Amino acid sequence: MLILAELGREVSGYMRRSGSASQNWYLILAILGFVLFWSLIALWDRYRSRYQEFLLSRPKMLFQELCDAHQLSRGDKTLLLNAANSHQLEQPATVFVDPAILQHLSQGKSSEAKAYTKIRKRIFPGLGE
Amino acid sequence: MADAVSTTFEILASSKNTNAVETLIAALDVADDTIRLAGVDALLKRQSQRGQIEIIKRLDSFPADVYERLRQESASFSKAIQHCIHSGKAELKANALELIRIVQAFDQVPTLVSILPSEPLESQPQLAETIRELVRDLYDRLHPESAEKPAASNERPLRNPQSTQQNILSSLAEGCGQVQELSAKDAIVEGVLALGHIGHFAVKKALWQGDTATRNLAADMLLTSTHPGIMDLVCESFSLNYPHPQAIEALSTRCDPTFVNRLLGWLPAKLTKMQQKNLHQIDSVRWLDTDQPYLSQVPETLHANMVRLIEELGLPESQKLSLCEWIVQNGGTNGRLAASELLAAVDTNSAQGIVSAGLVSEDANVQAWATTQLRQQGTPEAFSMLVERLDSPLEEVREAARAELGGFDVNRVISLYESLDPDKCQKAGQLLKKIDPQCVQKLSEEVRSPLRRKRMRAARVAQAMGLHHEIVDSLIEMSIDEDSHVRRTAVEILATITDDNAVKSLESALEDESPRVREAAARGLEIHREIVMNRSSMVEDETDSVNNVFTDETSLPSS
Repeated sequence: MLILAELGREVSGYMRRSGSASQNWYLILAILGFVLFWSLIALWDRYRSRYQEFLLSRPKMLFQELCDAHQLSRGDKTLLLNAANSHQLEQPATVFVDPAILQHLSQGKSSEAKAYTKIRKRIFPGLGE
Repeated sequence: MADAVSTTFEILASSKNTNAVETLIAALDVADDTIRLAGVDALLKRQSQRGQIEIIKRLDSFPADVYERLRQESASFSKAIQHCIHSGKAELKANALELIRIVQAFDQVPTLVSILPSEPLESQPQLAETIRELVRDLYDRLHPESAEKPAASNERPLRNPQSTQQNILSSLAEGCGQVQELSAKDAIVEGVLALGHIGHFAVKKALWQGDTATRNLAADMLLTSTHPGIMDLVCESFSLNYPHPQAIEALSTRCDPTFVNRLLGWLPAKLTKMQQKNLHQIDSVRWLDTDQPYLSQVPETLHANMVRLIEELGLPESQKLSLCEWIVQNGGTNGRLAASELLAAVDTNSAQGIVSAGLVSEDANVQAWATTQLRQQGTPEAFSMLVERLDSPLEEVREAARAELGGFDVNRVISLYESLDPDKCQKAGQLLKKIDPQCVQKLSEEVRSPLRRKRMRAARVAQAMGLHHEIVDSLIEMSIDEDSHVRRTAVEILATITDDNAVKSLESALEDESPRVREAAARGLEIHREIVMNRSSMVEDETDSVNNVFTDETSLPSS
């Protein structure tokens, strides 16, 4: 506060002493530059937070978050996404909370069914065995 | 829960992604209970209003474990509950009311009261029942000593119970005039009377200043309600200058044991002047009738309070006496004691009559009580009656007589010794043995007193009472005392005892350093010899006479 007050006093003293606007052009330029810089920063921040919101509102991002938490491979992720799509789930993350989806897909003797059984046992160990 | 499932729900509970709520809501409909419970838990952690509403929507489908969890998070549910109540959907509203009850959401009472008047008549009883239940729960929390069910160990304490009580009372007071549906009005008035004290504006409004329907309902509750708070209000009414007429009516006419026991339990140890004045104005109490069965329903622990109440009431003297008699016959120990005091204050002649009747009662306890009253009620010849009762076949009566004559002890006889003639002293000795079985031991202790005068006096008293035979050891000990006066006294008394040890002690005293002790010992031994000789001659005479009889009989001719 003291530094700002000091600065203010110096600027007002300078303004009193100087005679015309042409003598102050570099001061005006500096102020404009500062305003421009500030606006750019604000815009960037706004864009960043909106993008963040956009990302956070995407169901797939939550799905990704859960896949990361369970350390699933790319193949497993694809398999789970297919499961979500086959059940037409709006929230693909639902496959992590409803063991019945994977249970349904793991029935049968195809290689895919075996893969679903494997991943079901990994996500829901001890459930629906 | 398996680690992988826990990981999933931890992520869903903490994720900033807004879709986590939707995913968790989907988890609420899964068939597996573990997943559903984890879903509820995660939604509660997120404190999402939408999630809470979905939980309320499915309230019936959850296992009981969920209720405990909901109770812990009750504070965060407020907005969701209000949303459900105002939703207009009957099922959602019913679930919200159920949740309010489960989590004891006392802060919702003002909302419930405020929406009551605008609700359709058919749904008002449901709301009213929720209000009634919350009021009861709050009362139990505020008065744990009166609570019907004990508080759960994990019950969350109320943050500010007084403020919660005030808020609820204010809202209920406001609702009193607005609600018209009978059961709803009933719940609201009950809430006011149960939670408020007699001086509270809400109570005053319900009892004196409200509309006619409210006042009638409140008055009726004073006469009929078994809610502890309302019964307490009836009792508290007697602290006012002008108690509510229905409170007086309730005390006069209510006979239900719940009320009677509450009234007796409330009775303060010391009544205020106002309470005394108000109680004295009541001259008839229905349950205080010895011909009715109500008296026998009063627990013995409250009998003393019952006597105090009888004392304070303006009942006729004759009724008070018969009630005292009833308590004497049927009451507990404390009740009988209290009745005794009351009897003394009422009518001496009648009191003595009750005591006399008690003396011949078949009940040992009643006889014992009557024994304790002989002196207290000024019964003529009380002392001799007490002495007689020392020989009663009933232990309780003997004990009571002993306690009453407890003042007549060894010390008392020692102090009275000079004023009693020898015959009375002997009788006092016999009486003392009956009153105090420990009297011989106490006498022995007195004989061993460190004070020389006391030792000598106690020994003389023992001799006068004829109890010296029972303290021979102490007297022998006394005969080797340092003081020659004490030794002489002991020797003189030992001379009157026909005991081998006493004789040996006298023989030892023949060599005492004091000539007066030696002289007393010699005289004592002489007396002993005389006694022995007299005895042997008596035995010889007896033997001769027996022989004569035999001789006479054998000389008779056989028939």
